[in-house]
Amino acid sequence: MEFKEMKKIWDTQNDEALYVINEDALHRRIKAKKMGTKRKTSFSEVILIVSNLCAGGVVIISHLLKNSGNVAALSMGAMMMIVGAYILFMRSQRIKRDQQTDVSILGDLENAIENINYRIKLSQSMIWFCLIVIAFTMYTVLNSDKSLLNIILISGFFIIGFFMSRWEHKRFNLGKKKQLLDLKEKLINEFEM
Amino acid sequence: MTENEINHIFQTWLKQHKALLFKIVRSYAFNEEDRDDLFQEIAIQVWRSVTSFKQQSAVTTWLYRVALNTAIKWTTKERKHQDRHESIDVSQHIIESHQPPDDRLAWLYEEIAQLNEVDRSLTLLLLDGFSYKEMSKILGISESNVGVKINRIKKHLTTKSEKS
Repeated sequence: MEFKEMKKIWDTQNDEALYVINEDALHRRIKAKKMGTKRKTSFSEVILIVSNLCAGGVVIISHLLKNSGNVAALSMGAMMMIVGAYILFMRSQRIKRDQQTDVSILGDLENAIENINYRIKLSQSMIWFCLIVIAFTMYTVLNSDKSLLNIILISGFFIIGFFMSRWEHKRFNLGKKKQLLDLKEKLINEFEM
Repeated sequence: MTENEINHIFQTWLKQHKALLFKIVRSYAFNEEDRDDLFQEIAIQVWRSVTSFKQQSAVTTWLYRVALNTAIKWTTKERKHQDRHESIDVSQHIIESHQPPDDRLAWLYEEIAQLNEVDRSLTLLLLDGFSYKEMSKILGISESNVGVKINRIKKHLTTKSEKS
């Protein structure tokens, strides 16, 4: 078969009436995808809110009860409480935005994209916040009468935690960027003949 | 560009160029579930691309660029299906083809499927009548490289058709 003939066969598909998009099914699939993203976002928010409010509360209460007068520790506790409350506020804004979404295919699409962007921002902010908390904690620990073993254990815990959160961010949020770079490399290799 | 304008353009593109999108979907996904999944990914990327379209190229060229990029990326994913934790109703498929079965077309799709992702893109563009210049712009490679590749693909397909 000549290539011209193949093209003729190929062109028979151009009749638009031969294809139908089932809009209802497309809408359902996008909605299912959106719900998956929503669940993940909601889970991350709840973990961050609870951990910040609880940890901040424990730090403040324990230092106030001991009457330690440790300004660094109290500031860190207060900062964690503020961050927890701020994420709670952002969560309520997001839920409000979700409820106002247009119930069309495009409305759902836009909402799913907004949620993914929101999660990336949240994850990036938390990595920087984590560094501040580590700095405050280490300052407090180093100025206390804790043993060297305790200091090493606390440092190790923070280092592992920090790298785990970076790994999570890279693995799930920056994975798409890696895919693009891989694709570019693949294209370059393919055409280096 | 207002949201209504974006929505209108997206709906128009989808309506006018669905055959183009389906050809790409059929060349990169080989069962109904995967086809639905890929079509959904392409629809999302096309919608997102509306604001970036600067009318410096034809809509078909733009759509090919977006859809092929999405399809190639999609095939490189380890897992082809949707997140298995999400309950997706697959009883109703997104794309429905009312196409009468054509053995020669089925053969052509089988041959295209055996090519690597990049050669597949070039073959689709070639069959849809794109020039070497347009192909080089869409794929970001030189025209001479396109020419060499195209000659190889044409020769390969013609030889295969003679054998079958």
